Amino acid sequence: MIEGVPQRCNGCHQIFDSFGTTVAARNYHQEIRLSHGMNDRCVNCHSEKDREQLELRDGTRVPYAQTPLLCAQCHGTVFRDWERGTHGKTLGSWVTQSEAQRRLSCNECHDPHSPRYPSYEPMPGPNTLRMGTPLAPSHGHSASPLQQWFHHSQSPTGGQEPHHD
Amino acid sequence: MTDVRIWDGPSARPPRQEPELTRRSFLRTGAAALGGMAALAAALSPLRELASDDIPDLGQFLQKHYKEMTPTDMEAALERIRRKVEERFEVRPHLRDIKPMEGVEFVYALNLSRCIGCRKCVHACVAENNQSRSPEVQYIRVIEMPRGTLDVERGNHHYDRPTVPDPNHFYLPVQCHQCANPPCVKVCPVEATWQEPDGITVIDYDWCIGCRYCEAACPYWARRFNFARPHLPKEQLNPTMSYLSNRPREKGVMEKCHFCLHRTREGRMPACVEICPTGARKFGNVLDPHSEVSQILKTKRVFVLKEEVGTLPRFFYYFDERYPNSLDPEAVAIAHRLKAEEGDAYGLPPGPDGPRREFIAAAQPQWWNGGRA
Repeated sequence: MIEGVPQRCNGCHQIFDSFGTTVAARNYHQEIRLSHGMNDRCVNCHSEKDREQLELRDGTRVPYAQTPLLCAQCHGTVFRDWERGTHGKTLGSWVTQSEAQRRLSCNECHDPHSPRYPSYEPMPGPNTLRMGTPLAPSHGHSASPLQQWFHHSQSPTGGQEPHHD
Repeated sequence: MTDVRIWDGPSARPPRQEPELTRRSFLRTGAAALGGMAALAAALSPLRELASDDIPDLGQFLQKHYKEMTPTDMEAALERIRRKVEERFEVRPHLRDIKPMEGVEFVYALNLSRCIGCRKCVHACVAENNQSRSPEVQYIRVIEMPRGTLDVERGNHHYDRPTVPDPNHFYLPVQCHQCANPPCVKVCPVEATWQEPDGITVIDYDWCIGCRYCEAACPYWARRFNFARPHLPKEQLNPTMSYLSNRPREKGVMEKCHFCLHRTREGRMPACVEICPTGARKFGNVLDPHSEVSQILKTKRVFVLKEEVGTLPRFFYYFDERYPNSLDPEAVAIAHRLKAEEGDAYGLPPGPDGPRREFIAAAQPQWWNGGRA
């Protein structure tokens, strides 16, 4: 049983074996988008014998809670940094011995099937001309308060002045 | 009899002739008096714009310098501030004066390889620290710069993209660097700002006279001035506050980042660290050799901004080494050879044996023990 997953993987997989170890899922695991570079087969990480565990390259099975051990096989430098705390995100407390401190595991930030970090829509920029005049946006939608003010002030209702401080 | 001349005073002079009160002189004098009163009224007019709670009460007027206040004085000041906040925001704040922790010196580190410029830190900071929403006061600036340059002067604050990060740019967030040799503290004529034992430079908003010398002295443009009365909607007030950090400010005082001392002096992370989606922001105690920031200073090539001005910032920037494309070039070459030899990747046999093993072995650095201690 994997924590947080309602189904038992082995429940299905003891009846239905995968359609071979080298083909993409056709029915069930359709939502998985596999985009992990050269690492492009399920059983590279998942254990073929026990679907509720992961398998290292030397055959050792590790539970899902120890995902970093699996990732570390290829991403050694990142794992080294993660162990030191110089990569990854730490929540709760800066006190090293604190129980409130929680360091996120690899798969809590990265989707293991598609580990590239997604793009974000940025939050609005500063609403002051003191940091320089913004350039006109090259795309249609603008999140900049100053650009919105400019377009709004061209309309008959007029806009609210930006801050010049 | 000698001729004694006795000075008999000014009365001896002929009496000064009183000017005749004419209609013309009456009007002239009256106009001058009216003009004088108007000028006086104009000079006093800023006082009329003061809201009732802008005028300091006796307790605030007689308040001592922060460092000279006894615990009783401080409790009285806190109670006065609580009352004012309650009047203005209709919320009873949880206001305290939190002292620095023993054996702690805060240091901040920021991984520029990881920052994606999403500006979440900017807005989390504003929400946490009760900054003015209008006119806008923000402690963190995020500057977008072309890759390969580090010219802050040519950076763009107003980058306005549908999504970030842009592959041709990198993002440099700047906030107060909590310098160990802070020029802003030196120039303050009234000692309203000073450095605390844990390295945080704080401001007493009740002591600041708003001369803005510190703003001019800061080489990082980290200090902000309240030109107008800060506007903060009542429902957006963060009621957990402390005297030296995020209690509501008044018009005419300076403010700046204080490493969220009301959070960090209780062991918690600053708001900007907590919100950062990529873990680019790192915070901790540099006196603890196992803390993340100590490890960063030990193992990463860190740099500070404007090192040559001698401010000794406690805010360090660093880049990661080669990763995210961190696979060893040798390993990548082997993988490409395997693909070329054996067709597509599905043709590779699974399991620990076979060509994949060669690839995995090459992907690991020499010192690597397979992830097990």
